[in-house]
Amino acid sequence: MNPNDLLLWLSAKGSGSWARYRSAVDELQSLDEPSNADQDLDDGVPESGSLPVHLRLRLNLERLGHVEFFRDDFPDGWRIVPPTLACDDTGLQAVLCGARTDSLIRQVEDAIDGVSMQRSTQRECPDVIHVVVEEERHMQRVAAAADLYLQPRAVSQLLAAVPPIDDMQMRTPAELPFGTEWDASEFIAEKLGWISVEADKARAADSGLFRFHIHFQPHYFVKLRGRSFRIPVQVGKYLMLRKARQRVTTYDRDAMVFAVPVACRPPLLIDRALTLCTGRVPEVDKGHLIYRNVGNDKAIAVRALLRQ
Amino acid sequence: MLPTVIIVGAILLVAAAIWLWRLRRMTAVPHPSPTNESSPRDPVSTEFLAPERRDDTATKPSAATASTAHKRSAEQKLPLLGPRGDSQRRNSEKPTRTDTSSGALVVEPTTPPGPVAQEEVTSKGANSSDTKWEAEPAPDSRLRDTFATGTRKKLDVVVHNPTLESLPEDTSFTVMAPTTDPPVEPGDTSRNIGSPARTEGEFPEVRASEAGLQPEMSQPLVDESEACASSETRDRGHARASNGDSISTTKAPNDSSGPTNTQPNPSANRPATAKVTEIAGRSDNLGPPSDEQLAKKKRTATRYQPAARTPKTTRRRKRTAPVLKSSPDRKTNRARSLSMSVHVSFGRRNRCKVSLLPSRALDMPESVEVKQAGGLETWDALQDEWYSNVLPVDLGAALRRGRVWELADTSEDTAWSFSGRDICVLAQGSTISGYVSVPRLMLGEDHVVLCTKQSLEAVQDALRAAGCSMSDPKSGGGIPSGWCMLSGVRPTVAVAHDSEAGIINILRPIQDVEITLRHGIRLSHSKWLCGHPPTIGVRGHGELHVDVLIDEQPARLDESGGFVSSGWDDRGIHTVFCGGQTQAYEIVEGASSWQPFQSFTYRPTQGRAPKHEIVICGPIVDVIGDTENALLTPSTNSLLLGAVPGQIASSSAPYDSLNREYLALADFPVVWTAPPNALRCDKSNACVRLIQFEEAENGRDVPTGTSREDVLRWCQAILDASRKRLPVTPHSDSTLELWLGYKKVARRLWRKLR
Repeated sequence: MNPNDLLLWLSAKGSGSWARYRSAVDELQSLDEPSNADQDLDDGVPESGSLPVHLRLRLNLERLGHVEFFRDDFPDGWRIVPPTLACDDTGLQAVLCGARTDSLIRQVEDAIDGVSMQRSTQRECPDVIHVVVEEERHMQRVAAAADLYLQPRAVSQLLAAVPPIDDMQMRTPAELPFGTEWDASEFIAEKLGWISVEADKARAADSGLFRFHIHFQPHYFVKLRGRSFRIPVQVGKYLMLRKARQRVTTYDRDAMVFAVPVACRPPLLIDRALTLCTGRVPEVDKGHLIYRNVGNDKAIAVRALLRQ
Repeated sequence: MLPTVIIVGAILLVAAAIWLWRLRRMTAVPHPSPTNESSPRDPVSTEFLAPERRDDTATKPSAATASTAHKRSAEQKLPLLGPRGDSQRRNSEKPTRTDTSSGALVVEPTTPPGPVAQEEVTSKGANSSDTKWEAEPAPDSRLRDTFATGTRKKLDVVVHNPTLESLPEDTSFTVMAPTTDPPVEPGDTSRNIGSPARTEGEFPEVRASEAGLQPEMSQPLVDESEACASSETRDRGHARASNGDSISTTKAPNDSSGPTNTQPNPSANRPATAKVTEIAGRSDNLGPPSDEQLAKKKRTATRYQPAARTPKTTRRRKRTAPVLKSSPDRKTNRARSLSMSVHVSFGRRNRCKVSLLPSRALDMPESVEVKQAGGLETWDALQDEWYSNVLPVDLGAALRRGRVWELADTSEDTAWSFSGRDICVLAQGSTISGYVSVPRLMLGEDHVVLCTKQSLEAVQDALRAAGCSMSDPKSGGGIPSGWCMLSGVRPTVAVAHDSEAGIINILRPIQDVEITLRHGIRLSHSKWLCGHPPTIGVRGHGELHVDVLIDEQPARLDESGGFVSSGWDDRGIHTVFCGGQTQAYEIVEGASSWQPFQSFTYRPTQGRAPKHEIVICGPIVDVIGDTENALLTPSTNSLLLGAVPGQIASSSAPYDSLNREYLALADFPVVWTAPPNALRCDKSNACVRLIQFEEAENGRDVPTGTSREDVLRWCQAILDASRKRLPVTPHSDSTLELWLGYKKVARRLWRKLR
């Protein structure tokens, strides 16, 4: 499996359906892996975490700001983000996000003198490309020369733009599913896990985060004071953690390391902001996601958004 | 002794009576009647040339005749050929004989209503004709009178069918036709079947399903290999006449090269007849095919032999048909039959998943609604070639008996058919993971064989004969009931096919070369991204050496194991040829420009008007609207100043925000941010921050679009910050100089407007 090829494919196509994405992963995987290895990779035997390979790749592509999946304009598909230099607060270093082609990378390299491009690999992700310049204004010249979008202070801007988890914009009023064929489970903040409950009990509950399963498709709902809302699962978990007054995030100011339990991955945009601090996806260590190079002000902002 | 003689005599009498009865029945076959003028059945697609001429030269039409012979539209042509059911049935019942003059196999009418002539129908080839075909007499009104004379003559047949490109130019076939030529007026094109103006993409494919047959009947009773082979035959079966007019006709598979068998072997000629009647079956009044017809089809398919292939004859033509199909004015009622493959994928603990994989044509939508026994079902596109897997509840029965899925949209007569079988051979898919059904075993390749338990013994025998290493048969664990699976089947010995062996032939690998295009970045069907071309390989040739040509240039193996030649990975269409097989691929550029889009949209939480929305796309943060500007500002600096006097806005931080910065919105390009009340702020924490470098507009009066009050506020904010001696960040000479310029403008305007 070569995620670089996958990103090139996604960039060349521009947009597409989820099925096309899956088949592309499937095709690239079937070509690059020996036939026997297919069996292990193909059917949900994850090498890390608990997700199959196409979902792990999707998550990483979203974290790194290359591709967006399942948004309002394309509810069943994906779309590539335009190539963008996501600058850090100094403006001297940027991560290349979004679409990528061979010629575009050559353009960045050849844009101006004094620009250096550092390429590093990471597992199940496209290569990370850091663009380093000597002066802040050089970054604008690189972006102009290579026809890239430039996002100054990308991490800070993202964190400033995202509403906190208890904002009404983060959830949508919705009725809980009816019928007896649903498998329901409830999130328990103390255990950071799910327990099975009867669907009727979930419907009658006054509060809580519930997962309704049907045909292997999970749907997440939160109940607050008897009202039910559809909600992204990560947002719902942090809402329940806040309700339980439980703190799960840790921050080491000296090492600039921000950590959360694997079960409590931050909502996507916060996850993206923390990932773009280094351009590398978080490491998994002892059941925690480790984000590095997170400044103090950013850690405070993240905690504020997560209500931690 | 006497009783025995009596009994024998009685038996003989009964036999004679039966024979006579059958003879009468045969002679009582409905024949075109001269009075049946309005009957739409059995018109003949022939053009009469000079009557009473038997020599070959006389059979060749003049240029003028030939040109008029192709002006008839397909709509006129298709009904000219009789209904499939009747014509086939009658053909099967007719005795044949060999024409002594030409060696052609001809059909003798058993009881013609009048003297019937035999007309040799010759294609427009230059050479003498050897291949003889048979067609039906037609009750065309122009022909009915000609049944009276019983002479024999040549016909020039122009049958549009893209199936027979490889037909020798001198192919001819015999048609039962009236004896007297109808009067053909010069320029009368009513009997011509073709139109020279047609492009090849316009020629509808001839398939059983297109002939209006029931889907179950239209599907081939052999595996996809033969279907593919037939398809290939059809692809290359579009011949062009020497005068440039297109001629399509049909041809028996075993007649692909060289002189044909002139022996009166009905079975040898039946394929040609069957093909012709398939075309004939395009008329509207079709009945369901009989078992006999189906049996004919099966026999036909098993006798398929590939024609001699060269790079030029096998070169693929540009696909124009799908484009034409999609145009609204090309809408026809053509039936289309698509194949359904078997797909086996292995999961955890080697548990396999067997399903069916519907093929997807180039012009088909991402999602289709399909009729099946249980009701409607929606299939989403899995990729360019496939729709998502289909898993019938009774998969075992479906594999054994076959099944048809019809498109719910009745405006298009499209169906997916899977022909029932007892044995399925699958090989690793090149476009999808797992194993996909293939025509037959390939030497040296890894296969999976699915077979019914009844046929297991025969399968194992056949696999042993092919030198296969294989696992023990497995059943259950995802394998359909009644079936078992043999995995790791890798044949090492080529085994000759035997027409008597039937389906077992698919377990007999032959030296079957296949060109593979793998790796690279494939964008769609046969298009690869420029810079990431496919690795060109050849498989199925065993240890034999094969010559590979890319764009008709000899190719060599590179270090990656693929064949390359000069310019093989340049942009454009390339063709690979090897062992009679041709495979085309195209190198294209992908998308090169992308636009931001609204992935996430949020309203600011700090109480701005709801019309302002923040949009996030990847790492990009923007505000909806051209005049909106979003900027990060310290929570202490909520006053936003622009370069034009009067451009001032106050933006408050979220009340519960613990962040040191927040996203402020303004309708103008913000140059500075400052504390809202500079004179009362904490000087140790507050500052004036430069956002972007822009000189102040040095106007003498109130600028257009701003009010006097706004200009005064703008001036006061700058002057207050100056009086408080707030630090300016970033600390640089250029920043300080810019700030001084703003102070001068503010002071001057303040004095003037105060």
